[in-house]
Amino acid sequence: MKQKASIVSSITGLLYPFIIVFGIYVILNGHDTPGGGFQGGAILAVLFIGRYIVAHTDDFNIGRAHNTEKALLVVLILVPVVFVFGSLSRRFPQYNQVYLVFMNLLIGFKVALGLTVVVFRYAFYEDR
Amino acid sequence: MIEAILLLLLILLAIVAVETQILRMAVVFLGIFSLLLSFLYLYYGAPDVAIAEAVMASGLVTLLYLTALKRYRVYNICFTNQMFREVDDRYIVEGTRRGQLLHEVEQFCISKELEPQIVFTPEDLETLMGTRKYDLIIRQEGDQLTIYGSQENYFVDELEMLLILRYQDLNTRFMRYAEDGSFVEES
Repeated sequence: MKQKASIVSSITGLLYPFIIVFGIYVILNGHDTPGGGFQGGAILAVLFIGRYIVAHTDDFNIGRAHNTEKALLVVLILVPVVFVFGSLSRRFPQYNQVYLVFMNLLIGFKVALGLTVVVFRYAFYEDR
Repeated sequence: MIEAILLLLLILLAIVAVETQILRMAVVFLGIFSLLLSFLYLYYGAPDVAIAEAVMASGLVTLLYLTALKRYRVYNICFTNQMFREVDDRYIVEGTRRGQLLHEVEQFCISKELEPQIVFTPEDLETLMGTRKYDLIIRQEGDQLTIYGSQENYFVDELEMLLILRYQDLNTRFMRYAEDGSFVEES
């Protein structure tokens, strides 16, 4: 596929902001409406993958994304440990919703990075 | 009513996706299948699952399959002969043992859903390796038949098994080359 599909690329370019806004909307409203970290993260992952499908760029730094994902995993484990087992959730019940939204955000970005890394590794290194 | 229609459509799309001859169309049918399934989840009152299904199955998986299909489409095969003046139709047409080999490779490609593209050339091996355009190079020197394949291609292993089983009487040798162009000895 050498030639560029101009219809697909321009429509995808038009859709980028909507994908970002919808993904973040699904993540932020995940605690009391359908959706959540995983679904929003998957929607955000479509962003990078769609960009690869359209433009065939290989300037995406997989290593950095992978390391960021690992760091997010550590934070993802530490935050509940501190908040729930440290009985902060009982002492400050007004922060429970903030905690939920924050956890959803962490999960969302971790899932987005993870799926992107999976697909990019497949696309770059399965070139056999 | 709408439930029955959706369920019947799901079965129909699944059968069509399995029975389609062209893989790319099967992938698209699978995407439509997933979209209808996510609508059915929504109908049954599970919007959470419906979002996950719509994004994962009809978005990501379709893109992944299409990427995979694009990677594996054309397989370039090069047939080269050292004594190029002796490249004869006799070696190429069906019926002779070597022509049959090429035919066999072609059939194997088709069974793996690759598109074989065979080139006949009198150029020597170094030039061919330099261009790095071919996935498989078949080289003939007199009676010696050497097949060069990339070390990292799964396809070459299967092809080797097949050809060594069928062509024990021919003087056939398999060579692998690494990414940087150096040869790897057979173990």
